[in-house]
Amino acid sequence: MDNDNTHDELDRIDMLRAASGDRGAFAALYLRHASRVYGLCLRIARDSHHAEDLTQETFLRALRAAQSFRQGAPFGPWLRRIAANLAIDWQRSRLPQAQLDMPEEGPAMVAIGDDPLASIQSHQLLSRLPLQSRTIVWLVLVEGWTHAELAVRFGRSESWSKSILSRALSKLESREES
Amino acid sequence: MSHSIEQLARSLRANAEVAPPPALWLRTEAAYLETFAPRRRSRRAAWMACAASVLIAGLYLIFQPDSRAPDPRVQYIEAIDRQLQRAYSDGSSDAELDALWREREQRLEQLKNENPPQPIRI
Repeated sequence: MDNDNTHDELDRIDMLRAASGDRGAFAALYLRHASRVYGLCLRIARDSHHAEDLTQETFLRALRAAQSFRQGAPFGPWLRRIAANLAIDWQRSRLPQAQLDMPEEGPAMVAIGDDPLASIQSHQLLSRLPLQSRTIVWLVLVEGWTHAELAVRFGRSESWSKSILSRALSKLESREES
Repeated sequence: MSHSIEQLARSLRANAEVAPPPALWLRTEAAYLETFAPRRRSRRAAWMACAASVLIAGLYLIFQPDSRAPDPRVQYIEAIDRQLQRAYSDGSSDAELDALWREREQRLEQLKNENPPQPIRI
């Protein structure tokens, strides 16, 4: 726990320094967090190019909001929440609902051809879900979002996200069995 | 949560990290420098401008010219000069012009008497 606190404090200091123009601090921050942020973006973005855009924007947004970051709060989850919010906002503003609900066409749909994880069964399964379902599954199972948080972010009800999650998980289970 | 979903969650969490392509760092850094480095430069420029303003204000206070209000007697003579110019332009009579000239000489004489030239110590 103490170690986590030290890392969070280091992240906070680097973030403040980076926000005031310290290039080295920004590089350190990126090195420590880019792979986790990019991993999240790959799973909830339309494709790898979009995931890269989101990752870049996440770091810049974090620096712009540096002053509002609460001292002692865990930095990594805060950063990934920025990424997830960006991705959700993008989905809501740019993609028609039909496209969000559309089942994906096999593993290639995530366009992570160079992603070594594409060969892992769970990720292949996940990548076959529609974009919105995949986002909700990832945010609940990996990032620990609650349905209340999802409802606020998507501008829907909690029962809406619960039903999407339930259907998505059933689909994943049935595919896993087959 | 069923066993298979738990397994799925574990697998996803274990593989949550994906190394980004190296090119992403280059473009992110470029965007960062564009957004945040100029701010530092502009802050420095703002500091320089602020320091220069303070310096100029200080110098002005130290070396400012004598800013006493102009003497009303001198202003009066200047007003007579303007009246004379107008009188000549309007083709006024000699009597009017003479009156103005007399007035001017009287005021000038009065001013000289009240402020005699001071001797200069060499």
